[in-house]
Amino acid sequence: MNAKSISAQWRPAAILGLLVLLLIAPFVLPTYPLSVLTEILIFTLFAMSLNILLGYAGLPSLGHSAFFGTGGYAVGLLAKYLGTPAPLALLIAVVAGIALALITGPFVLRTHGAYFLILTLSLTQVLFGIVWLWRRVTGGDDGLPGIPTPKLPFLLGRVSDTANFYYLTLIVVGIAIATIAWVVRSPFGLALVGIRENERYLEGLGYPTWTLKYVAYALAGGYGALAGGLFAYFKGFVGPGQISWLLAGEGMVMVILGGAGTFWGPAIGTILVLLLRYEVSAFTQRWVMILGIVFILTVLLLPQGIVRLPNRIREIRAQLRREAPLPRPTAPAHHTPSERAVERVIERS
Amino acid sequence: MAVPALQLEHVSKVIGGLTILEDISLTVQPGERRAIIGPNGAGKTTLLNVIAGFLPATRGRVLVFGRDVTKLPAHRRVDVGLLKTNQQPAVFHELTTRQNILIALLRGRHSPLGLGGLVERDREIQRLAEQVLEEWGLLDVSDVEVRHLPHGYQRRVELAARFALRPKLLLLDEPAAGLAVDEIPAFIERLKQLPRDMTVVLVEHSMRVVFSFADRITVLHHGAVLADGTPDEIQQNEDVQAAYLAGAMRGRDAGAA
Amino acid sequence: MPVNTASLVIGLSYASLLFLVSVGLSVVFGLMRFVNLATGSLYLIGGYIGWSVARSTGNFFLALIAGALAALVVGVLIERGFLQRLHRKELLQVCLTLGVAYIVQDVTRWIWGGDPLRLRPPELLRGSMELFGSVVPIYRVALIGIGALLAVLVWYLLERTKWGAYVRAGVDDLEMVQCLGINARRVFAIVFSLGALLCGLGGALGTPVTGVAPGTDIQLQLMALIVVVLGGLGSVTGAIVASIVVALVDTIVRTFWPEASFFAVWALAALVLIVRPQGLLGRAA
Repeated sequence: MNAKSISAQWRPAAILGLLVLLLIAPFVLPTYPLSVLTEILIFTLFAMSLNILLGYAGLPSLGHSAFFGTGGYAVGLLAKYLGTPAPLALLIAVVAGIALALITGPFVLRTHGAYFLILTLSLTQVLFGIVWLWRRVTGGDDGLPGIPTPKLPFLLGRVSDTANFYYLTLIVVGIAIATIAWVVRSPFGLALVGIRENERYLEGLGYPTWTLKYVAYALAGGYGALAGGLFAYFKGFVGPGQISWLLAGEGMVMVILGGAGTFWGPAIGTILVLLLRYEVSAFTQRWVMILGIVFILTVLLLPQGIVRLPNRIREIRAQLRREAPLPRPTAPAHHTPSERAVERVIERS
Repeated sequence: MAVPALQLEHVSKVIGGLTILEDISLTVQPGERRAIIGPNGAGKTTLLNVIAGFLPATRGRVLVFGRDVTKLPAHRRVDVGLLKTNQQPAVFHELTTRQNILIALLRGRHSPLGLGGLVERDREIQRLAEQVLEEWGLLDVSDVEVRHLPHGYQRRVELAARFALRPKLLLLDEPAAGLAVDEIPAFIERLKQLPRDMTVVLVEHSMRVVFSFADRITVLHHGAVLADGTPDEIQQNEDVQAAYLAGAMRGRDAGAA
Repeated sequence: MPVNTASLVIGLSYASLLFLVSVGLSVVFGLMRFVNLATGSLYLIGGYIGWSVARSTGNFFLALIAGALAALVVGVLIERGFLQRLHRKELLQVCLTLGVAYIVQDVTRWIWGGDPLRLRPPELLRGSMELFGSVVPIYRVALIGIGALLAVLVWYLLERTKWGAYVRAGVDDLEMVQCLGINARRVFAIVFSLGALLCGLGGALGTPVTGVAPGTDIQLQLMALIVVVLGGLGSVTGAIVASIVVALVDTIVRTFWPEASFFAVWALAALVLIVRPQGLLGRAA
């Protein structure tokens, strides 16, 4: 029995254990750590939604905060102008996120790699600008304060308000994460990994790669907006900072730290980044620097993320023992420069 | 007269002002094994990519089993039974052998909204994958990431994935490239065992492979068809000899012959 | 239209700074598809070091050299230490250079505090002069001159020398260049270092104009990204043209709708990318 199937065996038990811990957390934790935990849940959803693009489909988006902010503003505007109840408002937030993705998708998906990165960033900045300047509706840089925190009716009076919103977040995020798990383990999810690995090869197997990317982009947008909507309720406020590209960059770092393309990696990365921010800042002002050092160390030592740390250790130990379980790959087929040039022209077109 | 498996009508391809293919017309009958040969830079790989839809033809038409596919994107051409292998095996390096096969088998089941159940719970697909792995002698390496496999295995994974999609017209782009000289006879045997109702178009540098496998040979030179005929005719053709064959045969197969 | 000589001078002097910051980024980007989000940090370093040196020695010229050299050192450290192993891994590049940016921002805040610092131009270039009937600051005019001079220099280096031909060939097709037996790694290292040098010089030169403060790095970083995508990755001419376009749009919009100037530039970038994903002067990617 190999390591993978052993961990697969334990997976249900581990998830159950985690769930129990999360359920009893409000009875154990004081208010402040509980609100940090709430934030971790929300950003885990954000990072996991981004991971659909970064990790699975291999699309390096630096503009995912656009969806987060869209969800936040959807919730904020609905609460301010219409007093929409939370479940409906969150649903509309998701729809708004998907809509934004469907509108911008045809443009950004024309590009690849670094270009994709910068185009998603540009569009996010434009959205940021619209929100910033359209003061009459969005409140400009003052944002929209006073968003009432929704509460679970069946828990009213039984637990504190913080715990009540925590449970609400846990339910929404839990359901969302379960559906993400389902998406990435479906044939669609496997196809996305194929796109990341080599889009052209996948197309050669008869997959409509563009459509797949478009759907992935829309899904990521929807989940990202859901996280943003929850965050707006959590803070009771939505402002341009929730669209800022710095947030997108932080999301990207969360995903990479934990392990892009792994299911639980983004959760680990989120916990790490947020704990660094809140805990380290409590005893040193230099937490920004420490965060920067963590980023760099991750890239250098664990480019595949913390989640893959056990694998990495196993690899290193195997190397030390000079185990070579399989023959080394032979040298790639001979290519003349002209053939390669033609191949690359094809890749580009 | 049966509908030809592949027809090219006056196909040209211009990339960045450079004419790579010029007015190519050829017809391949169902079940035929056609080799396309020519010196480096003759446009063989480009031609396969135009047929497979990875490159749009600048002019001309491509018909597969009588259907005009000129305007179809590559993934839609798989629907008419057209599949292609790559010079570098077209496999997903960070996926396991099994996942590579699964991706092929799952084509069409990904239904754009991602709704299709979990891959690992799909017993039918898992059984099929197991079958394919066994058939191609890949069971031992089924859970190894393909990047760890030697070149020959990667080629096998590539072919297995394509055969899982039941090709009717198979384009092989230098399948023998990267094989060691002593692997070539076995490889030729494998090619000969391909089902007879499958049409094969082969681009290959190894003349041993070409002449022991092809029913007809098309010679490309500077992006145009120089000659077209049976292996014997091609061998006799003086133009071909002058342009290419003699030198290539001396250079490439002297050691192996 | 409030476009007069004064706003033109302000715009073009800003363009000079943008060019200095973005040309290295652009060429490195074109050469290696490398996304360097620490470009703004190099500007910041140049600015702060320049400020300190000018403060302690009173010599502006020395400040420029020190600022440029400081950025060069940090640039070489980044290049030597990290960049080679991250070829074509955009995600890791972003993560790493963002990490560097965080560290630089925090260290500089530690040393120089959070207040904006401004440098006075050297005596020779203080005050204003009359140009085509408008009164304009002399230092701004000088900046335009320096920027133009350096632009010509860089352009000549890349477009007219043999070494520049290697770089341009590398932008077109890196593997091809390696086939020709050119040491692409060394070319890349030199380009990266020169880019860092220009960034630092820009930072020192810009201190009398933009000032330097935590946040200057982010602002310049974003502007440089816009210039690079607008101009087309790897194109020096593109970087020159885009610097001017961006700076002028920014300046003009600023005169009648100050708040919107920053976003107008982004809207422009998004629009150009949607119409021409390869940028104004870039080649198809």
